[in-house]
Amino acid sequence: MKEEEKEKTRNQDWAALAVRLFVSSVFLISAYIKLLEPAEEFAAAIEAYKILPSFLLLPFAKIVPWFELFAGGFLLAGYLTRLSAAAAGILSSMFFIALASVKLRGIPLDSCGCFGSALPDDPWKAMFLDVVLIAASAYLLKRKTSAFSLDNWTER
Amino acid sequence: MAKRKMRFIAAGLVLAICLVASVMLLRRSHWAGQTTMPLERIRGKSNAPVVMVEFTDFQCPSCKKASLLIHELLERYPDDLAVVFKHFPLETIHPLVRQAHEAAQCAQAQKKFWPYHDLLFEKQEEWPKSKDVKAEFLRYAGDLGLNQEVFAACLNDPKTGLAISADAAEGKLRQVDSTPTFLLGEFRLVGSSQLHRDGARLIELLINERRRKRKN
Repeated sequence: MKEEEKEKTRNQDWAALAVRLFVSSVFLISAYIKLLEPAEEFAAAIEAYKILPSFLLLPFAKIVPWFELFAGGFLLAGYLTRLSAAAAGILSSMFFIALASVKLRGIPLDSCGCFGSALPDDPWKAMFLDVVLIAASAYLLKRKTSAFSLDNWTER
Repeated sequence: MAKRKMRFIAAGLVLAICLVASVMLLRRSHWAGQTTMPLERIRGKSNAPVVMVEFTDFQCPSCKKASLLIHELLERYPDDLAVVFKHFPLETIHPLVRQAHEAAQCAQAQKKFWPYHDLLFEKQEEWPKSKDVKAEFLRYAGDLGLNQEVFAACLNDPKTGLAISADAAEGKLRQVDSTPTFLLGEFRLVGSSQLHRDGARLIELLINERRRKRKN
């Protein structure tokens, strides 16, 4: 490989690391806030979306933050990066679709509940963040490597 | 190849354990105390086997709905359920609500907490729009036959807010973030919908549990 190409790959690896840190920090913050507060709080937030049947609200509120935690944690460490990026992309798409459906149905929502009740967030801002996260996850899914990742270490 | 596989599995395991352990360590509840139960703010029999602690904001519409559900629950379980009211004003979204809670405290001082509580919920759409909310609360006191002079003095007394701050602090320690929140033994219900859906079921579960314990 030419020196120029190597340099380009190195730069792309650093860029991928920056994207990984961004996506993982959003997911980790969201996961920790929800996991550290009672699940009933998140269940009440999801209920406002009027999508899930009531018997699924609490199980969903208990499980989803763990997915966010593992997606965020694995991305931070660069472990199973592409699979974790796919999971992050799916979760972000799911949140985006839920918010869009609420907006389309004209349901008033003061806070999206995305970051638990500790950080109330405007649904429009949350939808914008979801789009950015979907794009960032797609970028990570496309890239095979990134700097400072456990994937690099286990592949050695 | 085998070494690579081992490294991959070990890294994944360590990472997963670290993530789960971090949540478990941070999750510890900060609440270790006993809830205070001021007699004037208890509905139902104070020695009832099941006690439900409710954290409420007088300006929250869901709390108004919940107050009607609580009436129904108390009618359904007259000997087995007591409900303790706790102030939890959400001042960031309801700037006037603390004054409403103070007014309720002043009504409590004249043994009329519950009638005043019900009136505040009944007029929930009116008093937040009032230009002089204090005068409005004073008028409500008069309507309920309270001594308005004593009530006005109480509203101006800085000590009136102490009980409200104490309740809100207890709520924070018990991880209450939104209103209404109901604590029923180890169970928690957030919002009037959860109370409507699961309230009666959990109360019955706790009543049966207490009966079983008594028998044993």
